[in-house]
Amino acid sequence: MENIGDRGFLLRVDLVRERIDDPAAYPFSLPVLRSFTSLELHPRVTYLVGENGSGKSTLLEAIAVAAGFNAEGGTKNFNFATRSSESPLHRALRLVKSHRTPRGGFFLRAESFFNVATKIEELGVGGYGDRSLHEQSHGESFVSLIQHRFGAEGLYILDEPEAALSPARQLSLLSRMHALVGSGCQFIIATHAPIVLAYPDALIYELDVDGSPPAPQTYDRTQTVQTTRDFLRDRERWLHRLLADEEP
Amino acid sequence: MKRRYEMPGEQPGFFRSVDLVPERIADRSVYPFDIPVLRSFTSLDLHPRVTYLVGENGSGKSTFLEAIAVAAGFNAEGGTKNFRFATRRSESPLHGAIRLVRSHRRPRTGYFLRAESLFNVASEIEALDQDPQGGPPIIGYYGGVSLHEQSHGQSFLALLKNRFGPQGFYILDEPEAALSPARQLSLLVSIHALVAQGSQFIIATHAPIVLAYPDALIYELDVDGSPPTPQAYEKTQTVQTTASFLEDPTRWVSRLLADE
Repeated sequence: MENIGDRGFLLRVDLVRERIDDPAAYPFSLPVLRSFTSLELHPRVTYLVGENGSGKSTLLEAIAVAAGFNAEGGTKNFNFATRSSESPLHRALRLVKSHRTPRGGFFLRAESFFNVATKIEELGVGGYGDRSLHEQSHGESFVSLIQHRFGAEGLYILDEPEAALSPARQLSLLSRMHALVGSGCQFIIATHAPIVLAYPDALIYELDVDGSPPAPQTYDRTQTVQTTRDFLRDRERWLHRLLADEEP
Repeated sequence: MKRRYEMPGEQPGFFRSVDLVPERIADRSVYPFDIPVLRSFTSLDLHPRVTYLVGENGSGKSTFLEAIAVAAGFNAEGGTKNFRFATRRSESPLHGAIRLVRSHRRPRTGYFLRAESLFNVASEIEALDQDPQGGPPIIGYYGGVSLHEQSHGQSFLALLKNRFGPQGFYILDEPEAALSPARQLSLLVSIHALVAQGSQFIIATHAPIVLAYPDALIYELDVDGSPPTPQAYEKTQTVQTTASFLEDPTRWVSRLLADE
């Protein structure tokens, strides 16, 4: 694992303050941006985790657009060109690149995830037998997408890829990521799912709604892992605490 | 499991069961009648409060859930619109082969939440606000913050808090999408409050926390097509896999990745 891709395509994400017109306006007002200056990316897998509202999807989209993806997601026009978009945040981001250039990539938005069948048809990906993609579940379509469409030397930016995946399929996603990392791919992933978050050779940033700068966090100390693990260890106590306060 | 929290008094749900009417199925080898869950399905008893459908991707639970929703009078596209429990036509042929057995109770409101609509909640709310029978505009509950500046999860919880009311019939397809575990806990609290006000839920989920409402019936759908049978929380695949994974992620990951 260590001998492949000693450097990712993207080394770092910097926020260029001079390019921000009004720090009090959205999206610059998002908690994650309040004290943000720079984010080092792991050469293989970088995770963004954090509560709803911390701004991780917005940051992820801005990174994707700055990297040349369409804000809408997908592979289209993936060429690392500067492009205009509705989101003003990407213009304030500077991506520090290495000498390596990705050969492919995909920006998977949670939204587009649910239109993945259509996406795949647009992309003309074969190999599904005689079954229409629209007869596959969202989860099945997504698994097909990463099996058939994600290739070597790619930059993959995934926003909550766990949506519609059973825990068993989330485990399959980890295996597939491992194979892709082994062939020189780099991932940046926003997730709420403890299983998806578990790729071992990775850097995890936990974004806080209080606006403290994103700092690397260990797997076991992330909120998502702690909450889910505690809950499953003692569901009775949790439910009692949660539901007892509500007046029936 | 021993209950220690107060539960509302026994009253029937709006719907008691979902029956399949075999003579309305033209061809069992054709989609959607070929989905695994329908292979040996005859009837599904619904819990008066919360019924869960769990199961692997491809078991057909979303298709099944949509058919129940359409048979109950919702649009296949989701939402509240034209929600009046009338028989209606739709693109999906499955709902025509399903019969919902009702009780004397009638829901006063309801919502069919598709996983897709979770990510389009802003447009959902705009659509709802155009519905003159839909009550006060939801946009007013957001305190001047544009919906497009809220995360999907935030918007969804706001929708649930402000739009889901008492005596409602709610069908939710994977409501966990876009929710952090902490927000999934909030969802349980909201479900509890609505159940206490006489609401009934049918929920498809992969999330152990969302699945944890205690006064509920869980059906695990199998891809091999065996009939859906009630399952204990702890014995569902989703809970077993997640719990076992979190007890020793390092061992799981090294086993999983060693084969690659």
